[in-house]
Amino acid sequence: MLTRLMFTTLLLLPTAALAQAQKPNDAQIAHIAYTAGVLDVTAGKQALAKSSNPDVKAFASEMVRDHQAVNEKALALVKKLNVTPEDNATSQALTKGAAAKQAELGKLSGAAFDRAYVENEVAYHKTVNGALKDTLIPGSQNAELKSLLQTGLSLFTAHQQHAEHLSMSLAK
Amino acid sequence: MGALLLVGIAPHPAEAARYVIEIKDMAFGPAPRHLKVGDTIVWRNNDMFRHTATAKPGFDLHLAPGAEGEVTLQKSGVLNVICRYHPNMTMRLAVEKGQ
Repeated sequence: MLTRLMFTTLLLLPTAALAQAQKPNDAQIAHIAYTAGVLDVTAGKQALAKSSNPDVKAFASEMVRDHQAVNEKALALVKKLNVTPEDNATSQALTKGAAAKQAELGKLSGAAFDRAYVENEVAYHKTVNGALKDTLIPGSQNAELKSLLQTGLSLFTAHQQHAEHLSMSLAK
Repeated sequence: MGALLLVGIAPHPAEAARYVIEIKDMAFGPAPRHLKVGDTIVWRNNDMFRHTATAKPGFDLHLAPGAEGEVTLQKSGVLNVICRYHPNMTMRLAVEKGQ
């Protein structure tokens, strides 16, 4: 329970940091969105290596494939706009939180791993959705970046729903 | 949102129609109404993600980004279509008997 609380706190940090920070600029927003995708790809790869549950593996493959697809578009866009994504406190907090979670999940196996991975996917997508909706999309200046973030939001929302269903079926 | 395009409107009610359903932003476009056996549905994936249009029993179309696939409706009844990769993507097609 303590671990879970600590993790929740870590997860909530980025949103809080975002709310308090000066409005992020497009270079920072691009960095945050890209980082959020990369972290979920890494988590998905960990699940593909560790899980033997076909539903969990299918979900993890979906995470890897979809987030890689959107990040490829993001890279092409920043190149086109001649913007260099800029590291920032929110990206760092997300990365730190994900690294801690990865280490924690690394110690689990079997059904315990599956449940913890999927539960974290629910929480993670919820956090990123909140950041996209409340801060990143309204804050982005460039129309193409805003549009890509909106696609990202529909993706994260769909993934969150899938994770929630999967989480419920694993709890049975 | 997803545009529903009626391609080649049938000049006669008995003739089979062809419908296009666009997939965009992790959702199927609206379901065509008054579908009949013999009509063709084209699924066009305008998302950057890989999808499927799957109905069991029925069909299982793999749709890479930018790709399309089609199905000719073989029998009347209700088809519940999902994307196997994104189970929250669903649509319901009601197919009437042909004339």
